Order: sequence, then structure tokens, then C-alpha cells
Amino acid sequence: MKKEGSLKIALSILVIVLITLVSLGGIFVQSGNIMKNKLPDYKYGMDLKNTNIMNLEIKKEEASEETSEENTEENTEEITEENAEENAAEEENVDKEKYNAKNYNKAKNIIEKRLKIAGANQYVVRLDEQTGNIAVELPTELSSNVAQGIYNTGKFEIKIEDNGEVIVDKNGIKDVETSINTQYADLPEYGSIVELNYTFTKDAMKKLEDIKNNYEMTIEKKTETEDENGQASESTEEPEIEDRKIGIYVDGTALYSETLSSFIKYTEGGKLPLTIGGYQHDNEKLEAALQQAKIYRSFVMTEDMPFEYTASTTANIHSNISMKSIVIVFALIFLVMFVFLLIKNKLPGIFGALTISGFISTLLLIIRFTNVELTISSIFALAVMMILQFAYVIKVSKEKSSTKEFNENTFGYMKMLIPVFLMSIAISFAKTIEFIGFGEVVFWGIIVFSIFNNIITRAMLTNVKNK
Amino acid sequence: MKNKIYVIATAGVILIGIIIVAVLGFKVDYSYKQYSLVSVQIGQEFKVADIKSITDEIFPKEKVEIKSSGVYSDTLILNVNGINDEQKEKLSTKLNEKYGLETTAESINVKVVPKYRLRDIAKSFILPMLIASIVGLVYMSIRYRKIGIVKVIGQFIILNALAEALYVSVIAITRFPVNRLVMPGSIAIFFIITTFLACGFEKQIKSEKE
Repeated sequence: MKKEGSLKIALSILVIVLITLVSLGGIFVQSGNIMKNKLPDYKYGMDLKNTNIMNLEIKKEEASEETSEENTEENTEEITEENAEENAAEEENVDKEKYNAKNYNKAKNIIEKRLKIAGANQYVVRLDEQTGNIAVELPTELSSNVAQGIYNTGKFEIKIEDNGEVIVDKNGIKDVETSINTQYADLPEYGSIVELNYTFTKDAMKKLEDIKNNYEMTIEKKTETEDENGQASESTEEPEIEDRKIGIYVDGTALYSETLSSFIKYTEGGKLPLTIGGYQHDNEKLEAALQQAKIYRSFVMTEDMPFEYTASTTANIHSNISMKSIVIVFALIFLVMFVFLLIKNKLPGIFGALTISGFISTLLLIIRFTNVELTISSIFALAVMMILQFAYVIKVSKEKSSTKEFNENTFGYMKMLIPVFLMSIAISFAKTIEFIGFGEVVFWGIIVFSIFNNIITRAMLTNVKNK
Repeated sequence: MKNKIYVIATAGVILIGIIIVAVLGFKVDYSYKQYSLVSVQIGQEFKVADIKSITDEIFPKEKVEIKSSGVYSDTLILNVNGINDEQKEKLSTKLNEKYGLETTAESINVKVVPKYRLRDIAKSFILPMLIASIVGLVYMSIRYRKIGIVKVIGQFIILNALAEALYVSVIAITRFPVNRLVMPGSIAIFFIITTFLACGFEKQIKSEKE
């Protein structure tokens, strides 16, 4: 019995030492001429690594054309003080109607909505309600397309190219979907491709039906020549006929262009499928194309920005919080726990302290493999789990407690953790990374707590009591 | 008697906290308040301690956050309450002396970063906390129904509300700067109180069984 007990303790200590070494050090395997760590890296949130801060300043409009036209007309008259004052007052009213806190907040909300649609889960948008200027803190991995896209006006139009007639605007789009088509991913000459699918509303489809029935699908290409006097005149030759074209424009830039007849044909089912970028095997390029597609989607799903902005970015700002300092803090906390347990519970206390190290190391390994994003919030959750294990170990490593008391205490702890376990699942689905990080660490922490303590801690502490 | 003292002390702290928040508001650090982001190209790596000795001279009695930016960590970033022309001149002079540069006050880039309203932070926390509370309450109401659903729900809401109010009051009274540690602390307290409550209810059920 005693030998078996000693063996269990020795094996448990070995497992804990192994897990701790692997978790803190890694598993290095030779790959070519270098040693590569086989363990996946930690994923860090914005507050623990680099960020970009983008400052957006409102581009105030110059004096409107109307006002300048009026001024030209009035040049012939005497410009009285009254006229000048009236003009200034009118401009101020226009200014107040546009440049006010309501519209500033509208712009901020549009930016936040676009960031959510683009898939950003960590960002901070700060608004100066006096000037309307905005600062956006973003993680550095977010592509520059997204960073530029969020403050664009986002005016979406489908229009006939020759006469500029707008057929459909964003109100005519019911939904936009983005996806990666992997149908040809295995073929070397193809790969995966990002798709952007527009779904039209019934009104938009009616309009397209009208176009189909009433519009000429071709236009005459007018050519001009010079006459004897060098003046432009229409050519006498027969005009060229070309297909009428229709295009999707975002802020005046063509996103897509097609002949009207083909466009009508493609959209007969109420949808328009587009692709962004080409076929790719490169995952990074695919991800960048997907983020671009999401930004195009966000232009349709949000209102037009009320202002134009100029942007300047301070890039790659390093966080003040280093992982080294976090490790030192945790090491100090562990040292205090170790000394306390040693004084309070003697030998079982030492083994109890070892289980704290094993528990945290196991949890860190799980965090690596499950891609939990480490933020200040999740580091906090890690500290809470460490304190939980400490409180549990104080109770179960009492010198005079029996195996029966160990079982009662362990199951008692597991029962009382059920409500927070369920709550951690609930908050892991939150939209903010702070909650997600905290919830995921508590979720995995409670699972590891239950399994680790029922196997390793039980093997150590029940057998050390038998000695 | 002891319970009465705890209740009175808690109520007292919360009341003082409310008054301080109403009169002075919270103290907020650069994570959330308006600040000036000062960036200077140094062109080489630098030590925070060296920069701190310079900023202590130029911005006395003011907390300055010192960071680096860029791929090679060769751009100095300072987060300060504000910077005037005289301070810019001093900063460029000190940096030129220290690192052998030729920067001028004009080459120092200053951007004003607006504040992040505390109510915007609070807004993003309400819904997840509410959903988590409902999930916890549903489980505890069913599991501890023998104790009484009203009692369980009542204790859950009152204890958590008191704990959060006490936490916020202590932050206000001690003028601890509200930063990115404060909200996770609030979530941790919520989880800890719920665990203690569950522990208490489990003991009650166990003693009733016995």
C-alpha cells in the first residue's frame, strides 16, 4: 500500500514537472537548421501587443458653390455690410445643421458598426464632441483596407455609365454576404476565392425589369473630328455601336463594370455574385481579400458618413505591459502561496503548492491550443483561477484530513462552481474581447480544475496523508 | 452585532463614494481620458529610464506614459495631458543632447486623442453581464429551490449589487485611476460573489438534508 502510494506521488510530481516545463518552455523540434517550437503561440489581444491609433479630422467644406455664385452676381452691385452679414449668418446656420454633436455621434456609430461588420473584435473609438474629431485604436493585424474603409463616405450606387443614371442605391440592396469559396481549393491552377454576393430588394428588381424592357442595350459611340477651321464637329462617318455599360460605384470609384445586357442576365435571380481578388492558395492574401469584401459589405449595411475625414496614423505602438512583467507577478504570487502553504500545512502544503503550478501550467497549455486571446481581462481571470486553486488546496491539504474529507471537499467545490461555469459560457459569446477572454479562461479553468484535481491532486494528497 | 457593523460600514463607504462621484467624478487614466500623443523619431532604440529623467524635468508633477513604436522600436511615444511650444522646444533640445539628433520643435508630432466616455465602456458591459446573471439565476433558482426562489434571487441581486457598488466606491474614494484593469475587476467580483453564494446555499442544503 505504502509503495503504491509513494509511486503515485512520484508519478504525479513527474507529471506536474513535465507539464510545467512544456507549458513554460515549449517542445522544440529540429526543422532544417533551426529548432522550432511545436506548441502554438499565444494569441495576444490589443492591450498586450501593438496597436495603431488613427486620428480622423473632419474636412470642413470650402464656401459652397451657391454662395460663390451669389458673390459673383453681386460683384456688379455694391456689397453692403448687411449682405456680408447675411451670408455669414447663412453659412453659420448651414454649419450648425451639419457640424453638431448629433452628426458627430452618428459618424462614430457608423465607424463602430463598420468595424463590427469587418470582423474586428477589439477596437476603441473615441469622439471629441466639440470638434467631431475621432481617434480609433485598432490592432495592427487589421488590414489597411479596413482601416481606410471605415471612414470613407460609403456612397454605394449602381449606375449606367454613359449617362450617370443611378439605378440602385444602398436602399435597393436587401443583404450582402461574404464568404470564401473553396470549391477549387485543391486544384493547383485555382485555389480559393472570396465572394461578395448582393441580394436586391423587390423594388430594385422591378427597376431592373423596367431597364430590361425599356432601355436600349446599345449606344452610339459619338466620334468628333476637326473641320477645316480646326473646330470640333461631329464625324460624318457611320457611328460605332457599342454595348451599354453599367457599373457598381463606391464613392465614385468603380468596383465592378459589365455590359447592361449581361448585368440584367446575372441579376435575374435577384442576386449579383462578385469576386474579390482572384483565386488564391495564400491564406494571408485570402484573409486580406475577405476583409476588403467585408468593408464593401459594411458600406451597404451602414449609412453614408455625414463628413469627409483626413486621416493620420501612429502605427505599431508597443504596449507597456510585457509578458515578462506578468510572469514575474504570477511567480511572486505563487511564492507567497507556497510559503503560506508550507507554514500552514507542512508537507501536504508543499504538494498542494505543486498542484497550483501544475494546474496553471495545464490551463496555459489549453489556452494555447484553443486560441484563447490573451488580454488584461483574461490575465485577470487566470489570477482568479489561481486563487481558486489556492483556496481549494488550503482546505484539502490539511494535515489531518482524510480521503473521505478530500472527496467531499473536491465535489463540494465542483458543485459550487457550476453557476459560474454556466455564466462563463454565456459571456464567452459576448461581442467584446474583454468578456470573451475572461469567459473562455474561466470556462477552461473550471474544466481543468475538475479533471486535474480529481486525478493528480487526489493521487498526491490522499497518499501523502496515508504516510 | 457584527453584521450590523458590516452593513453600516458598507453603506457608509457607498454613500461617500456616491458623493465623491457626484462632486469630483472618477479619476481616469490615459486609457480613457483625453491626452496628447507626442511622437518623435529617435532613429535608435532607447531606454525608458533615460526618457523618464527627461520627461520628469519637462512635465513635473504630471504622469507621463512612455512607449515606443515602429518595427525597430525607434520612435518615442509620450502620452501627456498637453504640451505647449516651450515644452516642445525643451523636449527636442534634451533629446538632441542625449541621442545626438537634430530634431526641432516643429518635427515633434502632436495629436490630440479624445476621451473614451465611461458610459460607452459601461454600455458594452451591460448586456453580457445581464445575460450571465440570468443564466446564473436560472440555474441557482432551480438547484436551490428548496431554500426559496425569492430568497435565492433576492440574495443574488442584492449581494452582487452591493459588492459592485462597494468596489466602485472604493475606486472613487481612493482616486484610483480608472483604467483597463477596473472592468475585469468588476467581472471577477461578480463571479467571486456568485461562487460564495453558491457555497453558502450548498451548505444550507447539506445541513437541511442532515
